Amino acid sequence: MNYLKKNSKLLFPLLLLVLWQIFSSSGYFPPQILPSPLQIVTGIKELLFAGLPPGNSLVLHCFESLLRVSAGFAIALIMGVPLGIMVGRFKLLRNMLTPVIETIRPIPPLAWIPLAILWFGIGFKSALFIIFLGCFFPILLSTISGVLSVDTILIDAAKTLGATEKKIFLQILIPAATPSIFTGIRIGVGIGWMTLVAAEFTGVKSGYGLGYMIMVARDIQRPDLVIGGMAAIGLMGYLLDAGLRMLEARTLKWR
Amino acid sequence: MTLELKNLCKTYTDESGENTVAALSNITLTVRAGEFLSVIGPSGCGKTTMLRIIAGLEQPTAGEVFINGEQLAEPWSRVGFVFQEYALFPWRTVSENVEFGLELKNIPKQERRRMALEYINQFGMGGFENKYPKELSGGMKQRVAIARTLITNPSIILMDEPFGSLDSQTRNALQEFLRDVWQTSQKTIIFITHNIDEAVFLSHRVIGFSRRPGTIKFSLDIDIPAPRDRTGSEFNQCRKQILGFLQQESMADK
Amino acid sequence: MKIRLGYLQSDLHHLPAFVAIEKGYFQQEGLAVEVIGAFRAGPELMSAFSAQALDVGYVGLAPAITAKANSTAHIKCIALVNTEGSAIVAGKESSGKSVADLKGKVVTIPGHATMQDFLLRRALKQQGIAVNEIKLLVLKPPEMIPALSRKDIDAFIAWEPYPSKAVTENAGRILMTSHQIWAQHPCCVIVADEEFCGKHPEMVQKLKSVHRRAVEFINANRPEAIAIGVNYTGMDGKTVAAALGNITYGGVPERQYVAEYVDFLRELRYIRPDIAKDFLMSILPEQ
Repeated sequence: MNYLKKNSKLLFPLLLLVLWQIFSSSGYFPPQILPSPLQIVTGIKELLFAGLPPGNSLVLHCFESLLRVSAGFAIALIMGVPLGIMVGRFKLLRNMLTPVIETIRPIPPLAWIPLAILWFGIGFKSALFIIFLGCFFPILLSTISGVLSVDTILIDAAKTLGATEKKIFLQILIPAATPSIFTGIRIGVGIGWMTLVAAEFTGVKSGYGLGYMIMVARDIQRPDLVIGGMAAIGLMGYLLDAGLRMLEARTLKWR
Repeated sequence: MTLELKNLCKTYTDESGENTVAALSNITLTVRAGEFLSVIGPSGCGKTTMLRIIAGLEQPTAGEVFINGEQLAEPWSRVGFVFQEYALFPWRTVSENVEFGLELKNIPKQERRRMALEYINQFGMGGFENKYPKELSGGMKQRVAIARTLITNPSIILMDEPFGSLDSQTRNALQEFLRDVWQTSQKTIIFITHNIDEAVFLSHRVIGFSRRPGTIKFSLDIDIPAPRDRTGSEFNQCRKQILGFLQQESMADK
Repeated sequence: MKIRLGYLQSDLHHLPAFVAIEKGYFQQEGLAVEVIGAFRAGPELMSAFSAQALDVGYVGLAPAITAKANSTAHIKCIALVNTEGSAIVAGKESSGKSVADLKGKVVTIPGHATMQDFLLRRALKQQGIAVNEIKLLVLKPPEMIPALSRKDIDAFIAWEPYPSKAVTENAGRILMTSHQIWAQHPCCVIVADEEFCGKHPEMVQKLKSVHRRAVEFINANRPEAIAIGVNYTGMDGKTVAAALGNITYGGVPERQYVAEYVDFLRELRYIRPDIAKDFLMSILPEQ
């Protein structure tokens, strides 16, 4: 029983895979509708070594997508945190901006593609824009909420110790809001990573990208490679989040 | 550093602009340099409001605050403030918390650290300088908070029920700690408490607030020489008088 | 029984389907047809076959062959819809006179393994240019014209009516038509689910009949055909008229063309190299 509990993280997905393989082998799921796990593993091998389009390895696609998401995320962070802190701190600003934010936020990044292409042309910049949109709102909203939930007593204490508004901003609001900001970062990176496929629809000039790779797999009717690509996206997303969680634990060790 | 309050009034108006609550009414008070003044009174009668106004965290609706004859605009560094909930910065270590005020004065790192360690050791917290507040007990946290305030050398220290969250043993220990600190530093201290024993043990003078809107309705000088015996008859006398005032106040609106 | 039919959105190659629907040819042959969808692209239409949601489809030969070769759909061709009907379009202000001038430039295709992908590579090969001497990019045809105007790309290849639209909008000029690249190459076909063909051979014959009539109509009644084209593609009359000049409807898929295309897919490893020997036979219609 204890063994099950300790290893449940691995055992459950393993169980799912085994069931899936059994169903596929029995012919219950025809391969063109749902390839079996073994077919997908073969597909992933093909993506790694032969590459899709042939010659473009999965590793390079992963790398390029990571680059895009990192860039989009960085911009979202640089814009989202300071804006979030100010909106959290100043009621007037909050009243002014909340309707605007809440109207734009629900629009899915995918819907922005035609506009992105119009504004930024095809290629890196418009993909960056789509990813930025995905990352930005969670970061902004968590920062605002983080600042709003800062205990005013801490601000009072800082004031009596001689803190100016600027010092309060840097030395109190940002550190106090950091746990919330981290949550926003993890959610933002997750969503940004999810918008990859949509973002890479805007035209990938370099010929590399996980979303682009999946598009090609779809074009040539290889559902096993499509799912292989999806698995790669899922795995990378998991690793990214795990990395962020480690960073969070390290930074927030005071909690 | 004398503190003078003249006809201080504070009225709160809610957002709709219609409902007003009068918190303070005509507070006039002079506090001498080096005096330990305790403030008692029923809950919600404006004691904290008065302290916050002195600290500059709030503005009075009417009246003035004079520190050494001057009206100061900014809140900082004219007074120190110790809160009931400690208000330590959780993301900073003990040492970093204590150093905070010095950081704001641009004191260099080595110097800050040295000064902070002095206080930390003096206050019996040696070895804890790199711990985070979450690792400290209530009594330790309050000692850190007091160190953080003292290190910036304010002449007046305001304390809002600083020992209210502690158990009675820790509370007694901290009362003695505070008395020692005060004797060494000779600061002016204004101290809010609900604990009559505490007020008598620590103060030169105890003033009592009425119910809201708060005015000063009672004043008692405590002339018992140190060390004060909590079981002594003089101690009891003072306690009785203060209790009498409080009972009167609570009956007044029955 | 109702025959479930699909074709591609805004694709002028599928004019015979539009005509047949508008003029009621299916009903006249006694066929009850339900248009399941106007699909955005070939691969999506083929996915509908995989999901067994479609009986008959007008679709590019390219996605049909890829789907069948990768065993994701079990279909066969029953007729050829059109030959040719694509073109390479260069920017209006570009100085290039031929495909040779595309060296080092950015050229877009509608997708990998499409007929246009093959046509472009064939055209480059004819001029002795290797594919890696141009920058190949994938874009959806509606986005190609604005990208060309903005000079984000230097040229594109797409199916009609997009090349003609680029010309009427003054965004580009035709560098080379598919007729010049690979004369009489098959482009779109009518495919049908294999099981459907086996169970209803007489319906298959009727579908071929309907198609023949539609093609005859287009050739004999240009103005009305253009009007129907305008209706179904949403493009203006001038564009449709110009585009029709570039497309030839009807005919039979010639084995050698299909074989060449299959080789292309195999070479580029878009399909498994070990496909069955009788693949060609299994996909082509009985003569």
